[in-house]
Amino acid sequence: MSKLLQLFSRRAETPIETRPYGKVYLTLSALLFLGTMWSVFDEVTTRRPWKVYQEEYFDSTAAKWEARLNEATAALDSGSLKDLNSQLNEAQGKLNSPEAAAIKAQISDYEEQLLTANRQYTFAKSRSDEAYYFWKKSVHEGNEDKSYKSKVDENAQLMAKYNSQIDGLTSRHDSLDAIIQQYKKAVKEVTTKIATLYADIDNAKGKLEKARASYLLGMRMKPNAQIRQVMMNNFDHSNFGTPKARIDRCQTCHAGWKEEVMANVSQPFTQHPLPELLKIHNPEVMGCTPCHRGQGAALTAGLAHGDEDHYWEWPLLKGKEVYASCNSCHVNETYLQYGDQYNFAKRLVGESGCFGCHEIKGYLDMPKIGPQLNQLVVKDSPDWLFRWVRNPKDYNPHTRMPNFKFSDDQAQAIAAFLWSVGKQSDYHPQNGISGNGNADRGKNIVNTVGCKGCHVIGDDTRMRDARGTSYDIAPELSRVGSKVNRDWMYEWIKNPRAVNPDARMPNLRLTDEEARDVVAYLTTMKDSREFEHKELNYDSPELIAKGSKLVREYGCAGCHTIKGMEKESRVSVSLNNIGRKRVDELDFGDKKPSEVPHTWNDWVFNKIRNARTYTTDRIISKMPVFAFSDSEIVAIRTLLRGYTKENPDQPYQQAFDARLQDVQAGRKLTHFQYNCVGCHKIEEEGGFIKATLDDEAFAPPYLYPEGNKVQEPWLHDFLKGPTTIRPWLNIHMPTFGLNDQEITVASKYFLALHNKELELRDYHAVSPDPKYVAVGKKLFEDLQCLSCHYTGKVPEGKTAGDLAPNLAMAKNRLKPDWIVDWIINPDVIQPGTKMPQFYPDLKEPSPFSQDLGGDAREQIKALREYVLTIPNSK
Amino acid sequence: MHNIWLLISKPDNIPIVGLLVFVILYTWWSFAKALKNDRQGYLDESKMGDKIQVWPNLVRVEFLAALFVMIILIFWSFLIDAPLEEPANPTLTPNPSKAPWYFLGLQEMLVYFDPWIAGVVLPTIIIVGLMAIPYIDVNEKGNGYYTFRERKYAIIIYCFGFLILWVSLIVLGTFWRGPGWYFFFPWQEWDTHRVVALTNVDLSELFGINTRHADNSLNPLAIIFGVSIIGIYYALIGVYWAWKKNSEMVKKLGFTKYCITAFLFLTMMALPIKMILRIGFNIKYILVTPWFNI
Repeated sequence: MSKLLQLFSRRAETPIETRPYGKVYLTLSALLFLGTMWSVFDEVTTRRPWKVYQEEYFDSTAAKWEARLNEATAALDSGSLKDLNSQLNEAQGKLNSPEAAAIKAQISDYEEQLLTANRQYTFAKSRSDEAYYFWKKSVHEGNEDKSYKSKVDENAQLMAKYNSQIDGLTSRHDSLDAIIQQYKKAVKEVTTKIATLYADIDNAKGKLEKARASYLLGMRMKPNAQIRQVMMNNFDHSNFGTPKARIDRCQTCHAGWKEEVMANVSQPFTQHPLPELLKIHNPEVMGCTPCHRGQGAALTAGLAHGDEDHYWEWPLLKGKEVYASCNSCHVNETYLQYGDQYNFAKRLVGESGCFGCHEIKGYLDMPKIGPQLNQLVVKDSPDWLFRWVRNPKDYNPHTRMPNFKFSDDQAQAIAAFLWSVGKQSDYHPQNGISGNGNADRGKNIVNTVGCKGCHVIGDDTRMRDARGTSYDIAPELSRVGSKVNRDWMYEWIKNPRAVNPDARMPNLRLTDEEARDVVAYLTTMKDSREFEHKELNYDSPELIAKGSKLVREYGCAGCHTIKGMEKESRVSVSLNNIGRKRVDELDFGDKKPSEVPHTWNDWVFNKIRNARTYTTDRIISKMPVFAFSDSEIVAIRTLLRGYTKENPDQPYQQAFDARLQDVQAGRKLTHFQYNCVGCHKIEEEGGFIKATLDDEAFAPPYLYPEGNKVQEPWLHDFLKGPTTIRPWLNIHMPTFGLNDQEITVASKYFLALHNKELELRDYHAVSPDPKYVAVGKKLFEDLQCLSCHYTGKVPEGKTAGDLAPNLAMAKNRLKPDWIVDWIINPDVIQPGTKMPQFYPDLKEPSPFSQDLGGDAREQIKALREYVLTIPNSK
Repeated sequence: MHNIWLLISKPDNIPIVGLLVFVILYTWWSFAKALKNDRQGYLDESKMGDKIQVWPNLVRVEFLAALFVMIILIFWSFLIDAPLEEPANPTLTPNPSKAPWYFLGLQEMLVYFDPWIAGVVLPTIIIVGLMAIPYIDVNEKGNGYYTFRERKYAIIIYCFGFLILWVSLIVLGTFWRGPGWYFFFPWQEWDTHRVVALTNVDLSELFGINTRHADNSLNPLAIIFGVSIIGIYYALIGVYWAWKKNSEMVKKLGFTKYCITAFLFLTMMALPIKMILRIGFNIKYILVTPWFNI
């Protein structure tokens, strides 16, 4: 230090003009040079860590393709190769034989002559045209010059002469050329076969060539590491509303996403797990971040995934959370082909009625999920009602009704209010109408007729397990005997719509006796617990007023129809932008980060698990407590993540067009309104009743093919009042009492699934061709169609698995086109069907008969024509 | 303590940490030189000999200095990336929303005055006042050498204005202001949800005159009160003149220069006075008019 000071003071003594600055200048220049070098190095290496990944990727693909190449080489069929090679030699020999050479020489000779003849013809034609012009001109000028006319004729003769020469030469040329072409074709055929044999090898070789590294002076030259980016113009909007491009460079490191050889390789090179999905969402066009999020333009893992950049507002969605992104384009749909987690969440939200209190896009016009509460007087007892309001899960742990955690006083007020509403109803069941049933027979009916498609009764929870949700779609009936008035129950079972015009429960068309049996059985299902009798006052006007206020405040009308509250608005906040809520906008109440970590995910998870978690002495939560399982909560949370206002514009959006609207309206009806999916599988979802059946053959049919399969008028009549198709089944299609509008929605839904529109047509306008009918009848007998199908009475002594529908119904029920498709390949339409495929290959001649030229397609048509003529033999 | 490290290590704040060190260092150095000169009775600078040419003697040193600064900037840019944050969003201002570091002093003034005064009037007066210095400070002493004794008032007023009111407000804005522009100690965690009992009243209200009537219209009495207070404050210019017009300093300045200097000085002092009134007595404004507030 002191030396440095001495240096400075010595320097200070030197006059300024003579002080040397050379060394300072040299040092600074050296530092500047160093800085420049560093910047080059920084730019090329430090700031391009992706290069390492790409080199690794190329090495790894090269290794994979090398292995493939070796496999392919080993798998090469040397026997057939030898054969093909000798065939090739033979074919080439023919092509190069002296005989062929002579033909070729002849051909080229003809070509020479043709050229000459053509030229002469052209000359003659041009001379003729010129003469014709002058002749016509002279005619028009009024002094016809005949010499031109004769020139025209002269040249016309010449043209005809050359023309016939040309024709002769051409036909001779072509006949010789055909021989040569045949030789060439033979060579080409063999060459193609050899190429097919070598296809795998050549493919592997090509790929290996591209991926293999080559070096020059120890430096890696090829393949060229480069940024691979996808640019989508006008995909995003800035926060100020101006459109901007999105740039994705994910594929710079995740280079193997489409390579089938890279399946099961570790990240970042592995193939995408859903190649089928990528066919409709091509990452080469739309990049990766629209679904996976992350910072597309970044080129290091930390910044791109968002782990290291806390300012990036769209960090990577990890694991199944990626399904949140489906919502940005498909928010209006509740089912997506590849969206398992998404579908599950959409179903949970739709079935649990979140939209009753919250505005949620895609659920804006859903039916209320709860029953109407205007007739409780005739149905329940006040005690039960009080206990139910107090805690619904106490009576039925699997009810969809959440627990509002009302105090005794509040519950009493609400019960009093509902009781007062019920008293205004003028509906009363007939007293004593339900007596004298047989409980054992009733039990049998309940077990077989299809009640269990919606209701869980007693220990039989198979349907609930198959549904895979923590709640039931209809009330569990295990304690129903302690809940409802038996006369009401009788009338309800007989015809729910007579009791409540909006009832969802269908009419199972039970006889009076059957209905009494069912009542007798269900009234034995009692709540065995003892309850302290509570003296409750249901007539106090103050209590009723208090109850009415509570019902309004807590938004009961979001799920239930209550007289006088039909027009209540949603009581809680909109969830349409919940995915973008910042952590500082979320109120964690008194929860310390050690109890509930202060993140969006944890906040939402704990809110859904126990809605009252964040209640404090000042902030009162009104949201009731649901009983979702953890996996359900995670699914719902994933969906909520996807509710944001920043969605891509057209043309990047899935258009919610007329077809999709029809489909979605149908899903709403068949899933959320009437629970058709409880019994039927429609779009790879549903059919839960199957779990309660001993034999799958007893299950209600798969409805996806319906739009292609059945005639629209038949479907309309069937939904109005079902007719029996499979009399051997105990399960009935019940009468839902759908109105015409609902039937139209259902028809349009089934048709839209097959890209069809609803149109009225007469399927009987064209009568079957008698010639075809005759052939069809013969085939029908030969193929023994009647060993499963029948045309009149159900054959006896056959098990359900061996029976197939009455073909006499076909002419009014089935679409003619569909019958053909069905006979061609039944398994494609209904996987697992017992119907055999009679014509495995339509190109081959029919194996059954020589009629109609043995053409398989024609014979199938004949079968169809016959089936359409089968009369109803009673 | 975690927070203090976050504040110091934030790339935006590096210049301010540097500023703290360098301002203190250079101030100390110049004062050391000035006081040495004053004490020893002769000037160190007088030993330095004759004057020399700017070209090349000064220019070459400046060139080397420029080179040096460039090297520092280049290496700085290698080590620390530009501190980008989330995209700008008109519907969502960051909390705290801080101006660039060199404007933090102005931003701090917004706490005490309304935007018209703090954002337009005072900055204009600062600039005009700085431009006026050569015309009102006619003391030739201290030219080319360090001294304190010969320019006592000039140096004290300058140091107060620059070091206390400008630099320290920047430091205050950087290290002591957190979310909601509330006062946080540098070692305190910044809590967005912090609640501060802050009820400010106008000065007139302390004396029982409400600024506004119940229908929200201004009370003329309060305006008269406010104008009187401001009037009395600036009347100090005249009072001091009457009292000290024969002192050497006032005489040297002459009437016009005295008035300008006194006006600028009082305006400068208005800031600390208002700070004390606001922080100590919860005074919001002294004068409320439909157009501006003081």
